[in-house]
Amino acid sequence: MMRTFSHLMNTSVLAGLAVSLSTVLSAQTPIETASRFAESGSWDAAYDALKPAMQQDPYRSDGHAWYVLGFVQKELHKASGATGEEAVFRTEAAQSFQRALSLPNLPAADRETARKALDFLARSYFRDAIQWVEGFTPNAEPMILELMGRYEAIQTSLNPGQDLSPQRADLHRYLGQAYAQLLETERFAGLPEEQGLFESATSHYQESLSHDPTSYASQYNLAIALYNHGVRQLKRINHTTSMFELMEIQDVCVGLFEQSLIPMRKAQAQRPDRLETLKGLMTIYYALSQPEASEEYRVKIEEQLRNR
Amino acid sequence: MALNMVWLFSLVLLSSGAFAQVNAGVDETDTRAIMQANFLFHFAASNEWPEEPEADDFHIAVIGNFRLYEELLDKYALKLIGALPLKIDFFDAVDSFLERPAGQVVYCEPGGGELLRVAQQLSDEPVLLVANSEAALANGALINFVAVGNRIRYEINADRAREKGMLIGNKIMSWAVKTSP
Repeated sequence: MMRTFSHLMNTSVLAGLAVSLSTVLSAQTPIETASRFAESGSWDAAYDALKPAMQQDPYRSDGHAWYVLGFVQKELHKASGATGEEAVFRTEAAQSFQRALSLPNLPAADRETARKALDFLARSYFRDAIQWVEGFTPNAEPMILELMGRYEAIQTSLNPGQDLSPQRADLHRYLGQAYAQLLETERFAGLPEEQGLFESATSHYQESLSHDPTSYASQYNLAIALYNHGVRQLKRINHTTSMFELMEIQDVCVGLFEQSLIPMRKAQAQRPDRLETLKGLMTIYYALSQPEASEEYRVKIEEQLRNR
Repeated sequence: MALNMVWLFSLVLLSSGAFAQVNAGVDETDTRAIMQANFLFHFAASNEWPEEPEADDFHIAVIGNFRLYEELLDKYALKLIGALPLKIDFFDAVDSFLERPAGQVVYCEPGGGELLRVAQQLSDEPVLLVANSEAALANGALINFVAVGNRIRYEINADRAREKGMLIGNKIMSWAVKTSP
């Protein structure tokens, strides 16, 4: 669908550029030169022809010129395959389209197409942010949040009343999961970075819940992150652990287990029949030395399995 | 209880499949077994034991809790108690233990009458009987794990320990929540 949209948009723009070209064949203004290059797919040349002129009159206040430049930059971005901070042409394209839309002399047909093009660029920021989360390293977080910020800024400029909380909630949940997965690998076991990763995971889940308090996945993941971090501490107990240290570790772990109970209960209240939350509650109550409560959830799991 | 949970974990795992929106699930490690194993190690290491010149090793016997046995085996086997290497023995039920009683420290998961049978068998032996059940001190255990504020703690029957001529270490006594039945 995206390819079709992009194709239609390009067809429309190229037709427009062709009109500009045929209107004044002899006069080679920067916009006409750029249009001619664009028609033949020479986006670099089109860019070079038009970009320097945009700081001068009359182009700096010409909505159509900014619109054409935006498309040239968008095509250059697509051709570059750049992502993240390296996608310079995407940033420039968004700025050009926003400049075009801010000018009253932008023709109505161009205005609608520019809005669609901006929406396309905004979505590419969001997709880019998600892709960086998939191959996550903690160093990438500021850039991911920057990409998300640009997505939100463009979307808000296009639709001022739009609620972007669901997307923001998703992004923070993905980031929480990314940090939690790093913790699960045990690469940072016992290292000073481990606590920071844990705090990042839980704070992103909480941030996600602040945007979407009804998110089952964020509640469940937060509970798991808290509980599993407690278990990681316990696993380090061995023959060198003194009684005093044992009591201290137990206090820390029980604190985490108690914290995990709250989101796990909320998740279970949202989806009472999910086996994963029943199992979570059974396990947490067991770890909190509450065998009767644990047994209650064990029985519920058995009932669920029998009824399947 | 512990064994039931292992079985349920497996069933839930098979039934739930993968969830795209959620992380890997709850860590299935038996957290209570980790704590209890370390307590048992301290009970063994911090007491004064009657000298047994012919002993080649020190034994902790576990009755009825396989995950606790695994934890002890994994982290504490062959560590020294005094000069003796620690060995861990497992008995699936009280009957199998009573057929061949062994261990200077004996942990008995079953409570009530089953615990009483073990206590009677060991009444004249310098053996530290540890339990995890209601009224376990009254049923002959010298130390019993109890839950206090969601934490695992333990109570000690100090009088009975003295009668058996056992010197429970000060460190162990100081962390107990109660030191008589």
